[in-house]
Amino acid sequence: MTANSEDTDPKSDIWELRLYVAGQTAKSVAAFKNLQRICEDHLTGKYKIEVVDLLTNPLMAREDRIVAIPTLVRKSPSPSLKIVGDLSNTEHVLLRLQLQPMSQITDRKEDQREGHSGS
Amino acid sequence: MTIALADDVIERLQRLEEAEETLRAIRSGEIDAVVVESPAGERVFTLSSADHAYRNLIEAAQQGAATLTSDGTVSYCNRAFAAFFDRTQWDIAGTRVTSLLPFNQQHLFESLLGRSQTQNGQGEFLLESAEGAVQTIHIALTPMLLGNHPAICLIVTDITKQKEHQDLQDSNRRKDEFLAMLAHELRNPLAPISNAIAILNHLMKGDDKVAYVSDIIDRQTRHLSRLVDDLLDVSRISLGKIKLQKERVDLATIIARAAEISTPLLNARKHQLTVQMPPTTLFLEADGTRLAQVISNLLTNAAKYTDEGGSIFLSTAIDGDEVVIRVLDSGMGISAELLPQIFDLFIQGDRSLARSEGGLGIGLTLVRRLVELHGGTVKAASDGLGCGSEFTVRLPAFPPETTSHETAANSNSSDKGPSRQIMVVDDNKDAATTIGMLINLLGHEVTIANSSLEALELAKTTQFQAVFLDIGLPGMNGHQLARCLRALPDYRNTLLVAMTGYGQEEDINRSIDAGFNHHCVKPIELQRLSSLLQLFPTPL
Repeated sequence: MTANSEDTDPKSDIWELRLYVAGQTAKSVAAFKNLQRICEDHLTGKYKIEVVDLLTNPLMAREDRIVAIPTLVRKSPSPSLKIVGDLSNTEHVLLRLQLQPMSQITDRKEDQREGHSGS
Repeated sequence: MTIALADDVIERLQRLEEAEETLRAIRSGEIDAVVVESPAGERVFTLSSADHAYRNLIEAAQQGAATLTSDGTVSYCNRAFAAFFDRTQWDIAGTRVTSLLPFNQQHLFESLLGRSQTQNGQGEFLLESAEGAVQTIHIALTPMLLGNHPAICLIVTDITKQKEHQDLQDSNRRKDEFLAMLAHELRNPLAPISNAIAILNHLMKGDDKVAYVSDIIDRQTRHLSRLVDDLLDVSRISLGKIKLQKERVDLATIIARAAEISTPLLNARKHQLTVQMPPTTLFLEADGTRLAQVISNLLTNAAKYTDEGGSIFLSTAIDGDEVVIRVLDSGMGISAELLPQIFDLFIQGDRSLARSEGGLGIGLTLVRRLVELHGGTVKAASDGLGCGSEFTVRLPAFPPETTSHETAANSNSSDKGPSRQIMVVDDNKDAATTIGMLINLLGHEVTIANSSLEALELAKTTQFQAVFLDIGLPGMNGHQLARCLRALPDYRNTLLVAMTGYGQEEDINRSIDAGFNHHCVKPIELQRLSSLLQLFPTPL
């Protein structure tokens, strides 16, 4: 399932995801729901979500240099990467997490670009 | 060393990428809180409380709203905006508004966009849906700053309904104007016709067949005149053009005039009209002609809706500072359902009994409107079908005065008086000749002029005691001619009568300004002519 094996930690197949939220703001709640859905669809059984509420512990923002909320950080597999926002744009999330075969990704990209300029 | 450098580059690239990702999320409206570093440590600011109200407002609006870059590209739009163009908000962001519009509207929008870089602009555009329905939209553009960049705020409103309403109003107004013009044009030929009948009657006295036929023409012409007059009045009312020529009038005179107007119909239907005059002379501040019209309309209405041989009562009374005029009939009455709308335009009761008298259903509308213009009220009452009707008009009374020279002096005189020299000026030769013949029948000598210049020449050689002038003369019109005549020493006190198809207040005022004693709307009836000629100013 994981497209990029080069950077994947061979010891662990578990994805460690950290979602930074600010209490129960609408986007935070949406991001959590979207993340759960995407993980269930694409990472069934091999993911771990940690939710960090920056309202209760703002200093936690420092560790991952968080500036906007919600932000998702992929702790593993490395390299760590960030997706900012409520994760409502599923294609964008999958693209960044590289959770789809390359050919499909390329197709999607072209689709998107076409859809855009065509409108 | 190189590894450290490479790491640094990778680190920088990663940060750049993160920054781009953050910007993307902000642009897409995907975040609702920010973390701000401060000496006291990180602080979290949620944005929802800050822009929640505005965002909800914009998203809930029926108007489409969008922010555009100065070249007209949508950077943000609300749901309604997207709905106008049958797209999603995602689709539209980054699109030029021009490309959303139908091809034939694009040029118009581009020029509006050009003008709206520095000032507010607005315009109307047509959208056509896939099903072919055409929608009229109003687009308003307002220049603004987003950050430090010039941008444009666009608001789009669906004005299809208003547009349709406006179109309806316009066409309704055009219809009113057309009716007014039509009525006016129809009235012109009626004048010579009714004059000709009067002459015919006079010339062929004693011939039964002629009398029979001319009676038909007379009745039908009167009927036609009445319809045309009503039509003219109602269109003026719709256009808000009816105005009163108010003066101190004696109620008895008005009632007599109204009864006279209604007599032919009352007689034809064999009704008995009982008039109860006020015990004392009652004066009103009113337009005599219009008030007579009110009362005669009520009498006509009663006559139409009462079976042949019915009784109609007209009573007058004073109640506090109001004059009360009641018209009561023994007719078919008014049903409870119809009663509230009885004064509305084109509303008519069951006319099976009255069909022969015709009418357009505007008589009572005129009554109410004219009474209201006089500052009065009119009410209809009926106990139901078959129980007769009662119409009550209340008008403000004029404080009683004893001196009423003109009305009192002239109302009872019925002798023709001495023969006079009279000039009739009208470029319509038929109209001039027939009026001339009528005046002639009344025992006066008539000279006819068909132009203003001819009239002036004649006026200098002959001293006329009265001049009847058509207003619509070519070249020097009737008003100018009247002024010229008044300027002549011999014509300072001469009776000048204006004859015209127009009876509106401004027309009457213009006639009075020009020096006319009377303003008559064509056709002038024999009786009117006769009473006018009795009102000669006393010779010096």
